[in-house]
Formats: sequence, C-alpha cells, structure tokens
Amino acid sequence: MIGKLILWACIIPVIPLMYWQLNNETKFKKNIALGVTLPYVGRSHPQTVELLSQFRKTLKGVCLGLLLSAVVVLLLPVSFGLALTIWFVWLDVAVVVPVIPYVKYNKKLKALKQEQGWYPEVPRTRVVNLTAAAQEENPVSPVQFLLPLVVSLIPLVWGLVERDWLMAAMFLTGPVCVLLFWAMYQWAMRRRAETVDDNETLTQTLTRIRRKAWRRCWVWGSWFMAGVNGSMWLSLFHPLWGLLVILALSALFLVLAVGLEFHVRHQQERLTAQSGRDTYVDEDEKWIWGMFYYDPNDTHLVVNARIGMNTTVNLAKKSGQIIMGATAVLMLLMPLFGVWAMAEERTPVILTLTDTALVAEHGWDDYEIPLSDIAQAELLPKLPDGLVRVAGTGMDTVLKGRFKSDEYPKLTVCIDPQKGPWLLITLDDGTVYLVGDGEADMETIYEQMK
Amino acid sequence: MLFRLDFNSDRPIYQQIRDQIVLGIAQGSLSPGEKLPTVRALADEAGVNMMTVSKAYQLLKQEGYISTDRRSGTVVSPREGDRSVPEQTMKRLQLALSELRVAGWSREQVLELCRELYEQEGRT
Repeated sequence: MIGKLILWACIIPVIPLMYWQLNNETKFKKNIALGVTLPYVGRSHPQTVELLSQFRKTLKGVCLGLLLSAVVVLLLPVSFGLALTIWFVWLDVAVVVPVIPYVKYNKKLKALKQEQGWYPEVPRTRVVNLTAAAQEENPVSPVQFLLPLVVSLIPLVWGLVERDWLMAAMFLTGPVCVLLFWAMYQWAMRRRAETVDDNETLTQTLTRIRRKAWRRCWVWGSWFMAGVNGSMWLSLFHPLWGLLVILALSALFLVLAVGLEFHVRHQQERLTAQSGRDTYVDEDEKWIWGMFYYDPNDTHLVVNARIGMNTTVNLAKKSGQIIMGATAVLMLLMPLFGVWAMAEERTPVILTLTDTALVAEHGWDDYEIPLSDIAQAELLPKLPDGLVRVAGTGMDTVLKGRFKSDEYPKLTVCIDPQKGPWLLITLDDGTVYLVGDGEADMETIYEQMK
Repeated sequence: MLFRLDFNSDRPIYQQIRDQIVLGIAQGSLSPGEKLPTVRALADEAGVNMMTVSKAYQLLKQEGYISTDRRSGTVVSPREGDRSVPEQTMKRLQLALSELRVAGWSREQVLELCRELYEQEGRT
C-alpha cells in the first residue's frame, strides 16, 4: 500500500499543474488567450469574457473529476503490477483530458475572432525584429555547467575506484545528463525576439526575461542531476536517507521550475497588459489549436512556445513530426510497462541444479553459479536482516538483482521472498548469492549440493 | 526596427531582407554606424536559412549600404553625398519610367509623382 501511495503521490500533482497552466491561458499575455491573438478591444468583449469563463468552469469540473477518479483507483485492492498499469493509463488520461476543453474553446474563440474581424492590417507575414536580433546575447558561462558536472562525477569516480562496475554505470547517469542539459541549452536556445508590437523596449524586456529563465532552467536542471547522483551514492550506505534526499530534490526542482514558469508568465501578462491597441503581431495561422506549431516557411525545428519560457517543435518539418509522434507513441505505450510488471510478479522463481551449475531463473533473467566455484552453501530459514535493494526488481513475489544486507554489503539475489527457505551461496572469489525456488524442495537441492 | 517578410510573395526572401534594410536606412530607422545582427542571429529571428541572410548582406555590401568590420561586425555604412546609383536600381528605375511612359504619363506628371514619393519617404 505504501508503494502505491508513493506512486500516486508522485502523479497526483499533475492535475493541479495542468489546471494551473490551462487556467492561466485565459489571462491575456502578449495579446493571446487560449492560443488566440486578439486586439485590445477584443479582450473585454462580452462574448470573449463569457467564453473564457465557460472554459474555466469546464476545466475545473474536468480536473475535479480526475482527482476523484485517482482516489477511487488508489483504493482498488489490486496487485502492484495491475496498480502500475492503472497508474500509467490514468497518467495518460490526466495529461490528455484537460486539453480537450482547451481545444474546444480555442476553436470557439477563433470563430468569434473571425466573426468580429479581429485581424491586424497585414496578416500572413512574418514579423522580424532587426534591433532585437542585433542585441548581444549573454551566454551562460561554461563554469555554471562545469561545477555540477564535477560534483556529479564524484560518485562515478568512487564506483571506478571500488571497481563496482554496476554502480559506476548507474553513476554515469548524472554526468551524462549534465552534458545533455548543457547541449540542450545550446541547441534548443532560440534567439527569436519576443515581439508583441512595435514597442522596442517591451520586446527587449520580454526577450531578456525569457532568455534569463531559459538559462536558469538548464543550470538548475544540471545541479538537480548532480544532486540525484549524490543521493544514489548516499542510498548505498543509508537507503532511507538517499530516497528522502531524492524526493526532496525532486520537489525542490519542481517548485523552482514551476515558479520560474509562473514568474515568466506573470511578467508577460503584466508587461503586455496595454498592448494590442495599434500594431500587434498575430501568428495564429501557424499554431494548430493554439498549441502545435506548423510553418513550412520556417527553417527551424525548435521554436519558442508563445507563452511562458518553453519551446516546441515545428510540425511542418519531418524531424518535428518524428519527435512529436515518438513522444505520443511513448506516452501511449507507457501502460505496457505495467503489463510487464504484472507478468514479472506472476512468473515463478525457478532454481535448477545441473551437473555443473546451480541456475536461478526468473523471466528473462538467469543467474548461473558454477558448482566448482562454490566455497560454501547455507540454507537460511529466514531472510538476512536489513535486506535492501540496490539495483534490480523488488516486488511482493520476486526480489532479483543487486541487494545488500546488514551482514553482506554485496548480494546477488533471485528469490521469492514469501516462500523460503533460501540458499546463501558464497563463491571462492567472495561473491555472495541468495537464491530460492517458490515451489521446489530447497532442502533436497541443498542436500544434493552437499 | 520591425519589418515583415512575405513568404507568398514572388520576390525572393533575400531580396525582401535587402529591401527592408535599405528602407530602414532611408527612413532613418537605421543610422550610419549602427550595428546589424549577425547572419545567424537574423536567420534565427526571421526563421530563414543562414544562406538567405548571407546573400542579402552580400548584396547590401556590394551596393555599399553596409560594411563588415572584424571588430564591430556588420554596420550601416555612412551616407556619402556622391554615392553612385547601384546598377540594379538604375535598371529598375529605367523599367518603371518606361512603364509610366507606355501608360501615357507626361514628363511633368512623372517628376511630380517622384517628388511626392521622395517627400513622403522622408517623412516616414
């Protein structure tokens, strides 16, 4: 139950976040609400106000319904694998369903715009801000990425020195992510100015705010990954503290990132509150449903999202379609991970003694222990004290992978923890295995081995 | 300075960029010595290929509107009183005059139109 509670605690915040983000779209920023650009006069038009109000009500209902459904499915008495499958399906639904009213009201607002003739003088052209493009860019100093890179390398160096290759591979995640974030910052950084109207000072201010937020986001992300690497290292010695630090870091990063997005949106709203009276930029025809960018004339793959600090891809480009398609397919396939977990927990652990080896099997994994290498074997009626997973699978019906216990700092495990006794095997080189079989007579296997 | 690119126009994009910069210089939006964006920055801003911007800059350089300096980058060239008329401008002007002549415009009418347009350009 605790595992399920943690799972749901991790994704329930998706709903308030989706609600906040979509509800925030009803506030005019850069003359845009619900993905539709309107002139100043259109903002306070009674029909506009009514549509935005209806959207807010619908969104509130949808989000409350989703929260209620989460509570219901959380209380369902099902196995961990099935709970995980439901969890993934719910996550997909929670991400997609609140967007449906957004699309519906985006279309309604667009129809109103057309009906009222709220278009700028020269539509269907691209506005280019020469002055803003000439502004010097203030890039992040490489030191800001090098520092978290060095910090994230410490656990990796420890793993290499200890010759613990599994841990070294795990600790490689941190430095790789920091380098990836550095590359993403450079690659996905868009220089296009935040031109809303012909007010140069406004453009410069909005552009500066966005670029600053973009830089901060990737630097914070790098420090977060360095921290996660350190926490994984800590969890080797103090598992509970390691887990708590990872959770605290995740919560902190989420709060900072959402806070930054909120700050950027608030500034965009405040600074453009009086815009749209005369000349203004309207690029609605390039945004499908106000959220997907499609411009065959734009050579860029990555473009700035219109609101906030995020970026998106140009769907008119083949690579953009591939990225968006792959993301959608991954999201839809996520529940398959739950199905895999269900299969894992239902597959029995099998222990076989051959002429030359003792083989522990579970699903696609098998652990072959040559009999000639065994120095000592012991039949345990109860599991070693303080048995904790380091890397691998930990379910009610199966434990496999790398574990540690109070007595053994490194244990390779493949057992059904509910069905003992279990065999503790020590090899000549000091490697320790804990193996078992839910169905077989372990005492007979033990006797045969002796 | 803001300008617009029309991707549905028959006029190539590099020509549109060139025209808009010349217009900016004529209207005083771009003053002599003012720094222009780098090729990459303008390509990013306009959402066009870097080659397109490079071509526009080369044309402007050939026509003497801009110059490139290793330290200050691309800048608007100072206005010179005795600057010769670029060959392309001369050809376009000749073509426009021929069209007006065929349309039946007299010399005085053409000169009056030119005066009006010149003054209008100076005011914007």
